[in-house]
Amino acid sequence: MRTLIALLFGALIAAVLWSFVVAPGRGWWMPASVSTYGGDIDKLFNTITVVLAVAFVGTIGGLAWLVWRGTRTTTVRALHTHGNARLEGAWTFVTGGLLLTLALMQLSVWRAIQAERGSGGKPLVRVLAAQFDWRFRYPGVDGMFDTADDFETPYRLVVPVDERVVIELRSRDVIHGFFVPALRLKQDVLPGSALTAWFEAHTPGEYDLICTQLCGSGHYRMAGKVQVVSRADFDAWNERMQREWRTNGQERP
Amino acid sequence: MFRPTIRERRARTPALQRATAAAAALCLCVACGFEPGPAPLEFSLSGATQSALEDAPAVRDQIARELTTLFGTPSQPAYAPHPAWDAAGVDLNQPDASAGAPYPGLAAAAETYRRECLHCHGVEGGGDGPSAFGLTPAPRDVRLGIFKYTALKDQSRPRRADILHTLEQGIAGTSMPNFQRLAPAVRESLADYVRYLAIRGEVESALVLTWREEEELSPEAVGEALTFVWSRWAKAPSKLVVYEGEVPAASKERIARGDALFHDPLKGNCASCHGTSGAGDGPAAWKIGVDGQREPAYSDAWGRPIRPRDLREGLFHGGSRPIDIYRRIYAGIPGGPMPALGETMKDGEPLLSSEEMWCLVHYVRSLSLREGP
Repeated sequence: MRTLIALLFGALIAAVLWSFVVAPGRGWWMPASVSTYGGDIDKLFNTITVVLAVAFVGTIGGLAWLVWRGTRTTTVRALHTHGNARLEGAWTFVTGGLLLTLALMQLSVWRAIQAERGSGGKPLVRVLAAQFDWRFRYPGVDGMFDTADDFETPYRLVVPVDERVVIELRSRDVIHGFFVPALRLKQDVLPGSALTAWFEAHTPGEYDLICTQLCGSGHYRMAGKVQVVSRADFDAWNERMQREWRTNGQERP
Repeated sequence: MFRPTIRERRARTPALQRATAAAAALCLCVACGFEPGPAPLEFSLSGATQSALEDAPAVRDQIARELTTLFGTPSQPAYAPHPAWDAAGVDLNQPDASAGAPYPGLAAAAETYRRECLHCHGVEGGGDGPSAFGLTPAPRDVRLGIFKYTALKDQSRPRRADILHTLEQGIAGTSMPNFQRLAPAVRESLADYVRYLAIRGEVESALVLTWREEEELSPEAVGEALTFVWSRWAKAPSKLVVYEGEVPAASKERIARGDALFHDPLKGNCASCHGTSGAGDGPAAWKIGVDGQREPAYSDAWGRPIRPRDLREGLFHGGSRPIDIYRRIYAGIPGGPMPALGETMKDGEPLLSSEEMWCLVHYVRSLSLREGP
């Protein structure tokens, strides 16, 4: 029986490790990063994953060994102990040191992303989140929001490639989460606040945008696309949208 | 005294647990009416029909039968052959799809509708799906054939392009999201299915009306009801509101003139409902109810209290492009008290010129913009 339980723990370790090995090939992993800071975030993510993997295997493996070793039939009386300062100190300092190291490691990446949040220039677009839709408001010709030539479009956020894009996030009702996995960008959208975030995409393409805060019954379908295009295409699209915004209604049959 | 040994207890428990778990699961399945796979859907008669024909179950059954003959069922939706469709010059069961895209057809559209729309809009499009409870504004009941946000005048039935526009843009400020994640051809078929549900609902109430007037439902009367309903849909393409020429720019002068027209009781008279500041608190739109509370003075075509839009929020259900607001002012909003100012005449002259309506458009838009008055 005790061997069986120990083997089950072993199987758990094997299954978890196996899932990590096969995940990228089955699309269970994050999509390839297309953002300038995505590489740094991936490095941190992988480091933390490795640390956690070692801790996980060590803990579960230790547990398995204790189950196997501690439940054998024996005639020796159990030993009563009360605390071991050296062991507890080591345990506390090793774990604390590990967490401190991780905290220091992420500091520079965090600062590089967060410090430039406000100073990254004027927002290119205002993201308007509402149950259960993403809408994007562009400032139009004058580059200023809340003027007559602003235009709005749902679903698709179009941005130029190889440029720092600052976005302003607003919510009309509840907390939403603006998450673009390919950009490694995740920012909560809070009602009553206009938060900014930035990214710089280096590969043109169409990427998923999803809501990561359970915002209500339609949360699961609150999806959109981020379309990264060349500067020329972006300008052409911007021009076309502005023209469509000023339409006199004759363009559609 | 009998006491089971530990070994005996161990041996007995798993079987007992297994039996209990199985029984609990069975109870759960029976209680929830769970069956593997979706059950086929069926159209029901609307609440209005059922209460109107409460004392005439035979007529109720006849109307249900006629509707099934004319429109099929949710799993096999199809228009029966009828002269009205031939007159349209299109096969409603196989409408033109956009170039190159394979058109899914009504049956596939019904499946898409079931997955994407039914939970709010209901099986018959009555706006009474399971998730509709508590939504403000309530999901559209399409069975009246009234669609509020179209590009058309004269309270017209919508074109496919109008329904498609709503599917593409959603309705900002409501629970209606956009459906751009569906392929264009799928959206087209969905728009056709919405039209199908609306026509079916309109024919249903037309049949009830016919029976009330003639106290019988002859095959000719059924055909006439269908022809009448379709004639309203067939007119839609000729009802498009467009503006000849370039949309006038939002200048300070136009906004100021729009401000004056908005508040002028003999011109726009918008402030009477939308309020002096555009907050939707005008005296004409509100009354004091029996309980002494302020409540909306008007009801919409669906019998719900309707309040004027707060124009300062910049959330325009029919779209916030200048042309969208122009169309709302020109053609009004079907199903509600918003009048069609573009069609209103005074002393043989139009009440407002196009230029004056554009001034109103820019004033209304400016209320939510920084160049506001």
